[in-house]
Amino acid sequence: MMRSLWTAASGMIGQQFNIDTIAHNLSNVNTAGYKKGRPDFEDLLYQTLRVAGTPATRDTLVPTGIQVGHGVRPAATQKMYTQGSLQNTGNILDLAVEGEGFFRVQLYDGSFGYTRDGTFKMDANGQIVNSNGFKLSPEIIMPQGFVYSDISISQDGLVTVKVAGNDTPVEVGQINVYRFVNPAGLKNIGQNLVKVTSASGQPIEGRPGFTGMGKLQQGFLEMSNVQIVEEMVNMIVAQRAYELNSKAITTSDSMLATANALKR
Amino acid sequence: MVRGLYTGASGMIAQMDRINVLSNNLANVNTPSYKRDTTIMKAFPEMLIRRINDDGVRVIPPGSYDLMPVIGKMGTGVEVNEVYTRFTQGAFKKTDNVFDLALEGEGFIAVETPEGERYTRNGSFLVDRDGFLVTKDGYKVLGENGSIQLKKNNFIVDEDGTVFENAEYTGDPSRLVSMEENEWNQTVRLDRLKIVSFPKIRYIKKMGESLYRATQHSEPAFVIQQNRPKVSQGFLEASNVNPVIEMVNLIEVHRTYEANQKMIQAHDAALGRVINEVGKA
Repeated sequence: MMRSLWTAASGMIGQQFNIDTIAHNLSNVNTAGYKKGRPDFEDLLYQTLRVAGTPATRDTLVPTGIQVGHGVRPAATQKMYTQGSLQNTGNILDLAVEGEGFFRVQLYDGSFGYTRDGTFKMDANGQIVNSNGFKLSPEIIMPQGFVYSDISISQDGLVTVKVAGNDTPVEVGQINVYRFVNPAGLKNIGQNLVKVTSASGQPIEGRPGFTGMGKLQQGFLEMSNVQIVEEMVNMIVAQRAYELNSKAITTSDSMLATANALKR
Repeated sequence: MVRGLYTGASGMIAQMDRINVLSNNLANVNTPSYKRDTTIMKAFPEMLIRRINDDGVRVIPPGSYDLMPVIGKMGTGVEVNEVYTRFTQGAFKKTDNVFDLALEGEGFIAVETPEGERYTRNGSFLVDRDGFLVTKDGYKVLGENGSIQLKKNNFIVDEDGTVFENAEYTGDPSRLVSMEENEWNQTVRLDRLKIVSFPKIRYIKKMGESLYRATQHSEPAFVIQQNRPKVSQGFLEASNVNPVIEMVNLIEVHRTYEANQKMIQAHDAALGRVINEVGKA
């Protein structure tokens, strides 16, 4: 049958994928540490109907071939790791990375997940965990009798706290951040977490504020870096492109009906 | 049989090829740097028509076709001659991603694939885990001295396509750089993007995956020295497909297809009359 039916269908599927990504971005417009995704498209294989360079006559060659493309396919959804704006929450255990780098948390299976979402909490043992209860790694456990309002986290990740009855702060631990050569290659596993893949490269550990790592900001959260206007424009483009492709399909369809009507 | 039947059919087939090309354009209306294809038609060889069995003109020697008087030419239909790619400039889309490069003007960026050197205008690049600049499909982007290894926040591409880096942070691959700390104390020239063109750009071939390759007729790619296209970092080149043009073409294709169908039906009706009615007593 007509190739254009499937070509246009690939276009519609591609735009559907585009809308899916936009919808995901928009639904995460208020998710702390969320990074917007961008679908990238590329054209599909070309079918050669006539090969260039074959003889046209005894002395001349066909200079150009006839190539028909087969449509489009999504090539990647790339996460855009640009800085989100910082929001002052005043919450002691809210942390934001200003610059590049991820927090590391230990998942239930013992493997590590990485996150930009700094909405940390404290569990019953006085240990810093994230919203899902995953432990911040390296572990930070508060000493007995600590005063919650006196927890202090410096820009370079040093955690200190005052113990009741004592005015001198005690060192509790050090929060490190992690960077990747290719952060776009990280795998998103939901819950604001990403995991290492062979494409991202191994994590590089560092003290916040040093050797290219971002600084920590206590009492701040990093907002989503989704831009509503940008997503809306992309949505308009995606919807219209979807319509265009459906027009190509209906036209192909009525052309086939025309061909059908040849024989009465 | 009646020649017009086949002429009409050739028209329908050619319009079908056109809609195939059109829908590929429409499917790629959102593909960065996609260049739209146009279909070029040509007439089938025309035949010379001569008068035979005419009393007024003598045919000498009798039966000699060559000497019969000429009436005129008759076309025998149409076929697709070429799918021609329009390399006009696409619009620029700001992305604020430092790995996105857009070319303004004629030229292609060379990438290394397992099948050999290929060329692209789709500058949505990434760094792989070893720090090489790669395309979305993992092909290394080529500079004039081979592949380019760099770090995020430690490279700048100027309009000429020259890649600069701060030598302070090169060397140790585990030393990453942040935007704030980089003061560009020791800016050095790393390489220049291999931006090429072809002696006959019309004959390069699309490979899919936004890649092109050189053919025998386009002749091998050469690095552009004068009038290099302007490279813009943080931008992507949008597709140059114009939906209005494509929709108008779609309508035109559809109606031409119908018109050809009507021609075939007319021939069919005429034939039906000849076969079924002329012989009747």
